[in-house]
Amino acid sequence: MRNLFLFIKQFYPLFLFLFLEIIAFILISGSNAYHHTTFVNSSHKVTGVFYEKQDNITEYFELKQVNEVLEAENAMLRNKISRFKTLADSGKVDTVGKVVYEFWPANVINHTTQKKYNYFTLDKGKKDGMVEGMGVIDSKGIVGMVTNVSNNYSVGLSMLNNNARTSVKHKKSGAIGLMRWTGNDVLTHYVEDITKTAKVVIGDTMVTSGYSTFYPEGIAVGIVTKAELREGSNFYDIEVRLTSNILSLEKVYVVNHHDKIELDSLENIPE
Amino acid sequence: MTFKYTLNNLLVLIVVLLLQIFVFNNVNVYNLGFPMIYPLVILLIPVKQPAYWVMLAAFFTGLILDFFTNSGGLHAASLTAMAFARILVINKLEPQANYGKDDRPGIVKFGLQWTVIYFSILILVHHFFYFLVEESSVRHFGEVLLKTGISGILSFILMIALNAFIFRS
Repeated sequence: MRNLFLFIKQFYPLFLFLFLEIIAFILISGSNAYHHTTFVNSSHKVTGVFYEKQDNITEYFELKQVNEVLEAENAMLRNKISRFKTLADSGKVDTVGKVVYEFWPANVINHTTQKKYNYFTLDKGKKDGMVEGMGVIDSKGIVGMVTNVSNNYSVGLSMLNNNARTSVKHKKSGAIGLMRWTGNDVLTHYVEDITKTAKVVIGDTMVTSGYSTFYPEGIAVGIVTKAELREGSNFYDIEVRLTSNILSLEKVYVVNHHDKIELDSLENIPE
Repeated sequence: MTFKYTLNNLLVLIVVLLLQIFVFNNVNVYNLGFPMIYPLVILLIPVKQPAYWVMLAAFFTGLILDFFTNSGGLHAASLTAMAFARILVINKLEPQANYGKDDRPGIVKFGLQWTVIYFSILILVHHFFYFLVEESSVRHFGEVLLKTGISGILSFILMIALNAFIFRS
């Protein structure tokens, strides 16, 4: 017994080291899961407040650029409205149909791009009606989805995250594929499962498929930068570049699907 | 003396962490260089401090960073590994005249050669551990090594420079 104590006393740094590493790795594995439920994340009050303060300052440096983007978007929306108006006046559009998707503006107060699992923090939380699983887009394309919500802040999984999987559609042909990111190059996402009948060429647009409640159908995702048909394969190897401004996020929109809870519970009926 | 001493240490910890979180976390050199200066707070703990103290300090310092970067326990794991390596390195590097009670690592106390060896070994341990665990596979081992090297050089220069400003005595 005495020897055991002596042994532990002599090697206690090693045991302490192993003990702390085990805790750290448990935390890491928790944070890499798709819906990471670890308590270590920046939707917390303390870290959220810190990042909000920082954003209050750095926001000013990007005001001009943000303004330009919003202006362009305004113009585009105006065009759309006028087009719909003429259609509605001529009675060709069903105006009694209900609104399914709603877009809420939000500010990104922190985000990373250089890691394999990247996240962003928004200044909207539970009290603003945020829930987990909402999609996030900016004016040019999709950005990610909300994974953690606290009272005042929420954290989302960026498109630049190894766990991000997005159902996309080839705009021209309507072929459906799955987009993922490997964690190496911020300019390259990979799309699988697009059949060779789709005739994909460089410069084509990929849009959201609308098969999930995260994003409405037809939101821009990326531009094809490489499309190869491997010999003997029925599917394209496609590389796309995101259209969203993922490297410097400022103003984004959160997508609220009105029937989200109903749809999700319907689709997830346990077998 | 002890109160002022503790206050000083705490101030250094806060300044280094703020610099890391709000300045150096935003630096990205060609997707390979990510300078990390926060290991400095562990590197500069006096050599005679007990091992458990150093490792616990490392673990919690790392955890603070993990809170801010959504990385689970990545910083905690790598900084604890560095703290463990620190015990061995300090033993190996012990000069002929043994360590004094309050000796703090740094150029002033131990000279340039000692400090360069001490800093570079421990920075490499930390960075290698960090990038390896972040990648969590050996498929891109070359990239892990490249990141370790380039980020390590950046961190090393920054830390030596910072060391000139804090704990000069």
